[in-house]
Amino acid sequence: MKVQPAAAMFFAVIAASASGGVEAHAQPGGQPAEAAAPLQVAVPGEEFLPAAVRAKQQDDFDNPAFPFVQAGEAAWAKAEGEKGKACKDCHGAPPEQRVTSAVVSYPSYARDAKQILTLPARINFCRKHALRAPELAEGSDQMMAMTAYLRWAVRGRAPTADVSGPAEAVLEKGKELYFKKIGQLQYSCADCHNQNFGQKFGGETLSQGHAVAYPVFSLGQKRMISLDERFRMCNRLARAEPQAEGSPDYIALELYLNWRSKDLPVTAPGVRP
Amino acid sequence: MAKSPIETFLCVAAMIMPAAAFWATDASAAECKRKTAGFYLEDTEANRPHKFSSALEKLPASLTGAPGDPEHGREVFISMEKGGCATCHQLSSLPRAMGQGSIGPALDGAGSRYNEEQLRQVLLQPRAYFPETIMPSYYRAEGGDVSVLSASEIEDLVAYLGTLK
Repeated sequence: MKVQPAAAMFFAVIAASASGGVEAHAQPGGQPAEAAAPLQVAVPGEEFLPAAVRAKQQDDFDNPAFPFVQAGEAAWAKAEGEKGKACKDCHGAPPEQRVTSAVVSYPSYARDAKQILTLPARINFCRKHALRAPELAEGSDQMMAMTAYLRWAVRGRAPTADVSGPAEAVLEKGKELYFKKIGQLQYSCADCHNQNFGQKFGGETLSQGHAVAYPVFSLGQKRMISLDERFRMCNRLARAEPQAEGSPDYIALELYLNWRSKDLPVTAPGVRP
Repeated sequence: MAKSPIETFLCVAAMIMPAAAFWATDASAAECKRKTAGFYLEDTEANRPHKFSSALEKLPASLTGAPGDPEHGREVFISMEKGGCATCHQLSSLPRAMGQGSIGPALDGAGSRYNEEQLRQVLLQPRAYFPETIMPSYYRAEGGDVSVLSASEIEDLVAYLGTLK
């Protein structure tokens, strides 16, 4: 009996949208999940938030991350380090277009540093070489303030995720990690964020795991959370070992997430439960 | 006006034909339904483990040889360091504050739907029943850090799940 093509297409579309990324399922018989295409429809994390939390993010005056944005703006103009220079001396205030374009490109290959840099790594590179100021720790208030400020400055723009050249191998690594089962509980990112977004997991609704809202203010932890810190939280949920600051795995994952989120705009700084 | 039986049959057949054609191209309607519903198997009669167990290896017997303690099993169920089962499963007899998940089926009445051996098998080899599940295996013979729960914790949990009628 032949399948009626129209009916088959109709059911396929319904099935794909209902299961939220059916292509990411592992098939019995061992076909790897990642062999299929990425998410069909990228849905922003805000769609999965309780209304009150989403409202907090959308109102700058109510957003608990905003004092960090303001602190970052002040730090941008403040002279620091042996050279007595401030960021604005080279980059203007507000940050010039060259800077904002760079911010939406991270992580990306930096010719001067000869490596893939994330935004925090670039900030520290500048501090070390241009300002001759001490580097900032990843979770420090100062680093959270500067990343919150710069990501807020590019709000509304989609990450550019240049995956040419040295970045191509990093993207492949990130994709491999995204679908890799880890920890005592053997969860992969895809298990929750491709297969189960929209479902409740431990009291919260799973999102698709996009990075565009980071850094975020966590209402539960009452502090700013970087993307790497979020990766560590997920590692712990799977009962896997979290990785240290500057981990290449996290850099690869971040690049993959930016590529995966397609045209979703940056909404940083976000607010999360 | 009354339709003749032939007309009625042809009318109904015309309506269900496209749908039937789609379902019929798969090995079975159940297989097709499973694929299009995504990984989450509906907890219906058709999907109960007893339908699958004949195709599987012998169901595992008690890991300890002694009956489990259902009260300790409840603690294993609730504790985030142990089973943490409410992360993915809803159970209405637990306080709502536990933040119960919707990833797996609700476990109300699990003790009525599954017998002790089947409950044990789901904990040990969830993919034997639900091939696309993300539910981990909760016991590995290697033990240590690799095994989420110990043999006695499994038996206690099985005993607790058996009380969920």
